[in-house]
Amino acid sequence: MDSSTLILRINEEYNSMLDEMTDKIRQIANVTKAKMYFLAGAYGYYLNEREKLQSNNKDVLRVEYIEKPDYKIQETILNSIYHSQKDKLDEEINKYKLFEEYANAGVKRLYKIFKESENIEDFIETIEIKIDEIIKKLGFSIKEEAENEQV
Amino acid sequence: MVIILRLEKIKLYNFKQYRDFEIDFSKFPQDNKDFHVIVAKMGVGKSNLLEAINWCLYGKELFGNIAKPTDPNVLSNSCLDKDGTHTVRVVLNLKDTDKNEYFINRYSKFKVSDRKATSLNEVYLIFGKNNELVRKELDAKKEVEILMPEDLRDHFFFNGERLDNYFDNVQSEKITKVIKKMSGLDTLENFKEFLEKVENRYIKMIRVNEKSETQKEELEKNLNRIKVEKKESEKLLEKTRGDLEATKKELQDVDLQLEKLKEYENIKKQIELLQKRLNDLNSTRKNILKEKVQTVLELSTLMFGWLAVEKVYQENFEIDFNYNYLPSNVIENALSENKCPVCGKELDEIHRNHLKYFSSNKEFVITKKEYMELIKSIKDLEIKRRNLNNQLSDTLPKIEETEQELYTAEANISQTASEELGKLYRRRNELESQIQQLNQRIGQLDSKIEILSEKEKETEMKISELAIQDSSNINKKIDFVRKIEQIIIKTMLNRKKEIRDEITSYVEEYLSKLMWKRDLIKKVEITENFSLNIFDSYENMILNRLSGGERSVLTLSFALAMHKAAGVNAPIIIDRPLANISGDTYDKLIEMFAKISEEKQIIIMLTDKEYQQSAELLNSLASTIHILEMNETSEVIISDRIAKGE
Repeated sequence: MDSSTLILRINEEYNSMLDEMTDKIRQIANVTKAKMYFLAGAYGYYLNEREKLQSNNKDVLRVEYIEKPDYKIQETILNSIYHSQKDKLDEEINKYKLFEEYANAGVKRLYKIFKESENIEDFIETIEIKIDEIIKKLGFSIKEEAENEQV
Repeated sequence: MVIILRLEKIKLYNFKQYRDFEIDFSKFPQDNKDFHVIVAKMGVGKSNLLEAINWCLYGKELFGNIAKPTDPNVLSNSCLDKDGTHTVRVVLNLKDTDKNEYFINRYSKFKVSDRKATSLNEVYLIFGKNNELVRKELDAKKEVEILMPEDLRDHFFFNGERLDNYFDNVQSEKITKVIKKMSGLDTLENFKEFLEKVENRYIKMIRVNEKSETQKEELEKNLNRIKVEKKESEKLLEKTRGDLEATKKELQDVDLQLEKLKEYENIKKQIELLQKRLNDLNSTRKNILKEKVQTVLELSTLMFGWLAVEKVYQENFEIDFNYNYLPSNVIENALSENKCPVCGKELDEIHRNHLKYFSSNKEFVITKKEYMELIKSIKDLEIKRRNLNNQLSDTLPKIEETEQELYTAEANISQTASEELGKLYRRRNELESQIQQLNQRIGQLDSKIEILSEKEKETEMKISELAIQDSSNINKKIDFVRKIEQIIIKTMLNRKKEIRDEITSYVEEYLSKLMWKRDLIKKVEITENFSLNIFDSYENMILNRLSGGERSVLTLSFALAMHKAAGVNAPIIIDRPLANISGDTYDKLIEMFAKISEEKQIIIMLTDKEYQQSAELLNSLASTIHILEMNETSEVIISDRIAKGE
């Protein structure tokens, strides 16, 4: 598959939500829409929610983007999400299409949190609570002083 | 030996909320102080006790509206329930250190009908000294006047507020009047006026030739005009001097306010600094937030997808990555020949699977190194997030604190707005030019009076020159009157200087005894118009810069100086002396009262709260403490009496 020609997309409705969230966050930090899109995809996967792409979808980013060093984590996540479950996927779906479906569902859920938050700081704090929950659930031990500590 | 007068007892009958009340200020003989405290809640009747004393002595109140002893408002409300005749009576028992006992009794009768009281105009004042009674109203009044002159009552009865504003313009006029009366200056002034009249009469008696009659009449008219003009000029001069004093005092006030506004510049600088600090803090916070948002978004992407990474890694972490670099055709050959592409040995099941993995799924491999790098990323991001949160927790309170400081500083500056500063500078310029004008006016009036005096003399001489031989007798009389006039004028000047020096030295004496800030006041000055000025060591006038407590000390020092100068030794009674005083000065003021009471009886009236604030000190210093309360029938009673030595 030639990744350079591929584009990651999202439903039109969710694209506006993604834009709204990205614009608001940009008032505080320099964040790309692409990074927000990957966050949404990862969140959809975490919630185990997918939503098919509709015909009136919108382009978000070219796949070649994720080959940049800045997107290494995002690329790993996209690949891992597909590979971790490819044996269970019944339908013919490639890793990009799969991620688009997760991103669709993820944007919707993130937008809900976004709307329920008083401001961006509040929104970020809600995400932080979820990070704390995962770290606790996975049993990560993070100590500053032990650099090479077993995680 | 100085004779000191003290109040022994006050008895009140039907006076306002007092039905049948007696308060006794007798003290333990060994107590060297004569300091008494009356404590009552607001509204119980402390001030009315002071008014009762005034009513008894002078037939009128000091601060209230009652101006004559027949005013039915003095009658207790409870008497209104019962028709018939009621008597209001106040009795004062006093004693001096010469063992003379005085008794002052005033009573007034009222008729009550249908809850209305009307005076029966039966008012009596009885004065007694050592059991000898003076029953005639006028004589009794005279005796009271000798004992406690009404003119001086402003200097022995005080309310707390007056302690603070004693030296304002209204009071200054009263003080001037009292000093003039007390020092005999008013008598001298009256005498001078009388002599002028006598002189005028004598001048009219000068006889001249018939043909000079018209000329004499002309000269007399002229002389009269000169005298009137001179008198008016003198009055104007006195008024202008008063205006000059008042203007100087206002200038002093303006300067004081301007000095306070210097703080405005400081506050402005402080606000600028605080705003800069706030901006810096907000920018720090913004930077922390920026980094935090980026960190959280990156970390959350990784954490939300972590289960997938973990699963992929668990599936392929045992794969031998020695095959990773091999071209796919080599891998495919090795698989078809079932030989290891590195060592040529037959492939076992594990290596066969590994080669299969690389032939088809190479892009999904997460090597152990990559996995460890991801774990490190999580750890680094998480540590970074925690650090950023800690930094935020440190910054937020600093921002709040700075915002609060800024708010307070801005609130201060709003009171001393820059407009005000401009207004004050303008007023200052106006006052300075007014002072200049007033000084010029005084100079002009001085020379005008001098010229008029010359003219007066000249005209008088001309009249004398017209006199015929047998007028020499009259001329002698005129000369004599003029000589006496000169003596009187000289005496007045001397007496004025004497009384100014006397009061100044007494004020200085009391201030040095009573003022807790020894170096605050360096010089005391009583002006020509008997108003008080005080100076610090830099010759600055500081009357208006004194705190409430310091001003109270000055007031009492001045009052004591007046007592001493007038030879009066009446007790000092102060209603709520702590009313305008800040809490930290309470004790100093109480100690001062105790000190004064070593040479003069002091009675102070306090609210229960004021008493509680310094109860321990008052209990140790006061000769007696009376706690007043109102009973269920709204009568004032003494609920407790604490006396030293009992």
